[in-house]
Amino acid sequence: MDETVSRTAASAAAPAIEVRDLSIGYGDRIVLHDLNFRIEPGQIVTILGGSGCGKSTLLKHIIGLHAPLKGDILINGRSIVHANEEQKRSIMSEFGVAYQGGALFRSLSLAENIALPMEELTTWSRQEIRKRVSEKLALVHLDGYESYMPSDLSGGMIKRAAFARALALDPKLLFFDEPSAGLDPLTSDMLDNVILEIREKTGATIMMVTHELPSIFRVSDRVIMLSAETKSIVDDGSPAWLRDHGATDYVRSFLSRGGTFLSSTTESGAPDGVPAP
Amino acid sequence: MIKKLVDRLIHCGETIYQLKEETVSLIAFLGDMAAAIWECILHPKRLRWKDFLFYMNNCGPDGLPITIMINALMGVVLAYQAEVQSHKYGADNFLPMVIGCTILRELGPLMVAIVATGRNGSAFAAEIGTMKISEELDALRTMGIRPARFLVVPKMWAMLLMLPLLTVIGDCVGCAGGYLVLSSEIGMPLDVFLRLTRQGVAVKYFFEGILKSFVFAGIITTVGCWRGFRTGNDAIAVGRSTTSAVVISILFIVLADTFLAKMFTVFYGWQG
Amino acid sequence: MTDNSKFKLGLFIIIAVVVFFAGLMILGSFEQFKEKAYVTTLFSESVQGLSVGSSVKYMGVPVGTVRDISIYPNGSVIRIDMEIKLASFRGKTAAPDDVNSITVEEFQNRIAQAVDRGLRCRMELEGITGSKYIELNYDPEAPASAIDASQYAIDNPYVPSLPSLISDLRGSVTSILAKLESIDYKGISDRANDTLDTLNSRLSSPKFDETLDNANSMITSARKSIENLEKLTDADVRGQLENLTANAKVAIAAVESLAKTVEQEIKSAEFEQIADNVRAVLANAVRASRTLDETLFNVNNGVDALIELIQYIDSDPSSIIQGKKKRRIDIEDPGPAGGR
Repeated sequence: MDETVSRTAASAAAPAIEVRDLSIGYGDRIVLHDLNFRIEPGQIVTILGGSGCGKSTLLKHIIGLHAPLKGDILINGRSIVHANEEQKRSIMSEFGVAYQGGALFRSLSLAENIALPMEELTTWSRQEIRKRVSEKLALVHLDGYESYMPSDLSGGMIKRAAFARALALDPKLLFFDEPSAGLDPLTSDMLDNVILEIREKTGATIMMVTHELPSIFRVSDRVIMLSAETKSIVDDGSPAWLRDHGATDYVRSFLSRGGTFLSSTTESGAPDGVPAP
Repeated sequence: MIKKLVDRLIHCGETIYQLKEETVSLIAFLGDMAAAIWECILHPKRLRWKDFLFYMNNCGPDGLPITIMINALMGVVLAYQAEVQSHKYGADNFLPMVIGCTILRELGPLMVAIVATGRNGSAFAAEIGTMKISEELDALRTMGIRPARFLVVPKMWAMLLMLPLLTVIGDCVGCAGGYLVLSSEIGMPLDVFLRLTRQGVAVKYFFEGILKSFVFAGIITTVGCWRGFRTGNDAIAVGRSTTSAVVISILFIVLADTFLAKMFTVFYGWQG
Repeated sequence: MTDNSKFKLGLFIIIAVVVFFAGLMILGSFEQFKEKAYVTTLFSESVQGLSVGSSVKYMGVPVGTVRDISIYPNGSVIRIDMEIKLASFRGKTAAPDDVNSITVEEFQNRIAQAVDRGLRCRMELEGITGSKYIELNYDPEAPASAIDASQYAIDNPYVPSLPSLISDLRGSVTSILAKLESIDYKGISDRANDTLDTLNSRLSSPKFDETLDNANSMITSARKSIENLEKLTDADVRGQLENLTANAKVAIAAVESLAKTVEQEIKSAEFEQIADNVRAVLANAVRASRTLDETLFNVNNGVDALIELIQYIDSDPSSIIQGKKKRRIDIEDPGPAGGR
């Protein structure tokens, strides 16, 4: 555990996300307790864990949709837990979220969906908004689909459109909830490319929740592993390091299922944000 | 035996607790909605005009055929029943007044509101419920948009504008239905019908019905949207919230109607 | 939002608004935009049942409503302001297109003239609910209320008021009661008693009974003559018949005179029915009527016998010569017993 602390503390001073003594749950039921971690700007971090360990719940707390039982969450140095309605909205406008099912508004076309945050939160002109919308769509390879309604799109296209909408205001912080769940390997691969591309173009910090080991090894700099038994973080580090030197057998065996894929990717030089000791 | 009793008591307690929770959430929702409506009054640009037009169309013209049918039949049934009774006493001349007052003050607004509850209230609940399940509400919130402003305000304005208009047409059609019966059953000519209606029905009754329909529009939208926001996290929950939206709306509408009927009577008493 | 649905929405709104205004027009809410004039009256009695909004009728035609009811500082005079729809009054000429052309000044002149000719205000009951309306009508003879309108600053045309029917009625009832009180009940009763005594003495006098006895004996003799007639024989038919006719004539004359006597007797007794001696009178009357009954019964019998005889003679004229035949009686066979 002391290794984890030393590893996170080693990085730069202003973290994009900082979680302090966080306990979350619903009423009497505690889902996770006493979480502490910092996420540095520019990292791609995956929250990993078995089903029902509270990954998505943690994400929803970090983005301010639920109030925690205890502890604090700082986004770019500002607490989202203790913020009032107005401050909360201002913090929320600094990050983008792509939800599991896309969460596109079904009554709006693709372009309108992506333009919505711009219309609502900026004073940009109509032309500027149109220009930016086509930029974002081009980024996720959906140019030409502006007037399509969400019901006309496939699952992979909806996920990419959700990415584009999360990117609408060029946030420095992005959250992806299960970006590649339920997609065929090729589409999933394409989404991974999109994530890497986004980071390359915008330098954003990305936090995602996923099960897909190939994606994790491909894009993640760091994995925060949660356990449903201890209801806390069991280990924290780069995917390869956790696979080889994980704190418990559970961690090692969880990650080694993707082992065959990893040998070709990690060695191909995926950026390793967390230096192994 | 004692265990059964204890179970009953626990069940009762849970129900009361749930009732309290629902009441608190309704009050919170009302506050949220009021804030959103106020925001849209201060900044009309923030109103979703496109949604507003869409819901206007949905609540008004699209609901017109069924409203006309129900209200006309209401007028026919009412006139027929009243005619059968009062014809015995030779009180035919009171029929236009009875029909006019009943439809303008009570049945017109009430039937239009009940049709709108079935058509729009349930749709609002289902729409918002589905959005909640597919995390669209969360998406709105993380975009920094107040869901009430985005989802409730256009519906509310559309209903507030359209339901009174529907009520006006419903009233007219209801009276026309009553006239059809009177003209065919006792051969009352149109000008006599109009004159008797004018004699017996005060203009204030007409406005009373329209004012009622404003209140009903508020109730239908509030309850529909509130139940939508209170939807649970599975697909069955949408069905449940739709049902509860309709049931609670109709209950509140009838309660409000009772209250308003009393209020108007007192008001007319003052007026003399 | 397609153009089609926009069109639909617009059409819907237009229709609804048109229906709304048509409804208002039918229910007559545009009345309040029509020209109006005001008329004032003063009452010195309770205006219970009258309220703001009560209707005002001109000779039964609804022409307006009560707009204001106020009490003057002296506490005994109530001012009623009435709003009159000018549309109810035709213009100078009776031309059909001149219906609404009366102006406020013209109306005021007309009211002033009408007051000179006896136009008055009066509260009337409207239906059975106790609410009232104000009736403007000509009643030059009725005494106007004793209010001096010049004491009160009234800028509207003033129409004097008449006491309402209720207060009229109250006054009349009071005067009727006073008149009733002054009637001499004792004197009436005494005179009635005297009358009854006279009647009683007349009815119980022997003369009255005698008359009735006479009538009785007369009837008996009439019957005898008829019996004699039955015994007639061929020989003395003619003479007897003549005799019979003469007898009958005498009998009828006697009955006539009896009737006259009775009539006179009754006429001379002045009937007037009041309490005390009624019982005695009735007792006598019952007795008298019983005797009368007997008499009439006898007369009836005599007449019946006469009719029978005449019928008999009619059916068998020879019987006058041959005498009466014995009647044959046929007895029907009752049939076998226990046949059922």
